[in-house]
Order: sequence, then C-alpha cells, then structure tokens
Amino acid sequence: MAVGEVVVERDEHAWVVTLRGEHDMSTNPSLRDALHEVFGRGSKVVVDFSEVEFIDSTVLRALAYGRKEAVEHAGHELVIVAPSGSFVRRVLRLTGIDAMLSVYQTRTDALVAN
Amino acid sequence: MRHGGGRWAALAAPGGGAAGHVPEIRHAVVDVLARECPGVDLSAAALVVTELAANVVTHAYVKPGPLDVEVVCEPDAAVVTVRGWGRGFGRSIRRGMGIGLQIVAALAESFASMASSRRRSRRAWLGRDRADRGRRRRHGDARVRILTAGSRFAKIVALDRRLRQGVLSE
Repeated sequence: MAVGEVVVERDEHAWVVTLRGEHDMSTNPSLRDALHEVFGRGSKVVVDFSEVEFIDSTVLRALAYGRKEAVEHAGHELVIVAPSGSFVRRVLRLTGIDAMLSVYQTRTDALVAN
Repeated sequence: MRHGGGRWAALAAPGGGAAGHVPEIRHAVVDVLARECPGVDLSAAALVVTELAANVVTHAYVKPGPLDVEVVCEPDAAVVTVRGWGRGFGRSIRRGMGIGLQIVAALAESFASMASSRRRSRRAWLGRDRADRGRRRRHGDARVRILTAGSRFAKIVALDRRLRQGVLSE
C-alpha cells in the first residue's frame, strides 16, 4: 500500500490538488496544508481522490476546512472528484459529507462544472 | 476451536511524533483479517483501527507511552481492541465524541451500541479499573466488533451538527 502523496497543479480555471495512496494523520504534507496554500491564492479548487486507497477523519476535517473557506470567501470554490464505489466515496457518504460538497465522477467533470 | 488474530505493540508519542505507527498497525491488522477473518469488511476495519489508534496517539499521552492493538477472529465477527495508558482522553470525551469516534460507532457493531448510551460509553471508554487507581491510569480500552455479514458502510449517518458548520472536533 502506497504512502500518501499530495500534488498541487494549476489548471486553466482552477487549482487541482491530487491525492494518491493512503492519507491519515501521518501524511505530510497533508491535504489541509495544500488547501491552505491554494486558497491563499484564491480561485476554484478541485480535490481529486481518484487514486486514493484510504482516508481517515483528518482528511474529512481538511475538507470541512476547505468548505468553510469556500463558503466564507467570495470567489472560492471547492469541488471533489471521487468515483462511485471507491473507498473515499463510501466514507463521504457514510459521514454525509457528499451532501455538503459537490462530488464528481471524473476530474474533467469537476473542472467544467460551475 | 482455533480463532485467528494477532497482537501488536507500538510506542505512542504526543504531538504526532508516533503518527507513523498508525499506518503500520493498519496494514498489519488488515493483513491478518484478510488471511484469517474471511468476510470482514476490510475497508471498515482499516478505518476503525486507524481512528482508534490515532485517538490514543493524539490524546493519551503527554510523553511517549504504549499503544496495544489486538485482533481476535470470531465465527461471525472480528473483535478489535485498542488500548493506551496515560492522561488526556477523559477531557476529550467529556466534550463529546469527535468525528473519528463517530465513524467508529457507525461502522462497528458493538461500539455503536455502546455509543447509544453516553454514560455507558464513557465508562467503557475510560475503562479505569479500580485496581489501577493510584497506580498507572488506563487511558481506555476500545473494543469493537466488526461483523462478517454485510457492510455498515451503506448506512448514511447524520453526524454531529459541527460537521455542517465546518468545524470538526478531533
């Protein structure tokens, strides 16, 4: 099982934060670090979980932080990529977070969504 | 009748110093469950073990201390026990279960029933033996049963209202 990796890239219309592997309290840098960095520059943020095998509550707290940032600041937006049936999608559904955030099947869907 | 399982010990250190042990324990537990507890939802087990171990690492100690994890495979369930010694956990429980423990309660059959009663849940979690008083305090035993029949992941749980406010407790 792979150690967690966080990659931040700039797309034409958004910052894309790609996570790979497993993410828990030991992952460094964390999703929260990445979200803090990109929201500091404004814009739409896409968090792509397509290649993630595991997340714990530290990742959910980071998403809650991201949602709060997006709600409180005009021009900030947070959308999620988590394919149906994936571990991440199951956890988002279990906790009801999928109802609070826009969750898409693919990165392409997330990038074109408004 | 032989039951499978395993036991692991690690050192938990405050301030995230021992965070690296959490994925190690998760991998070890999942490997044993996959081999010896057929039917257990490995995704649910991975999440439960991670949250409980992280809780000990985060809350139990002001200086490094032990973290014990035990798994016993029963005919219809896997029983996972996570144990730490030290201080700090009682205060976090008094503020209410954070999202990590709420996830455990949602996924693990017996922990879910304990969590339905706050008083019983507190007693179960704090788990301080009379014999331990005045000597080494037990941080808490978290013993959970993960059933082999069906997955509780399908259940949508209405978590604490703090989640909707975007402020999640630990």
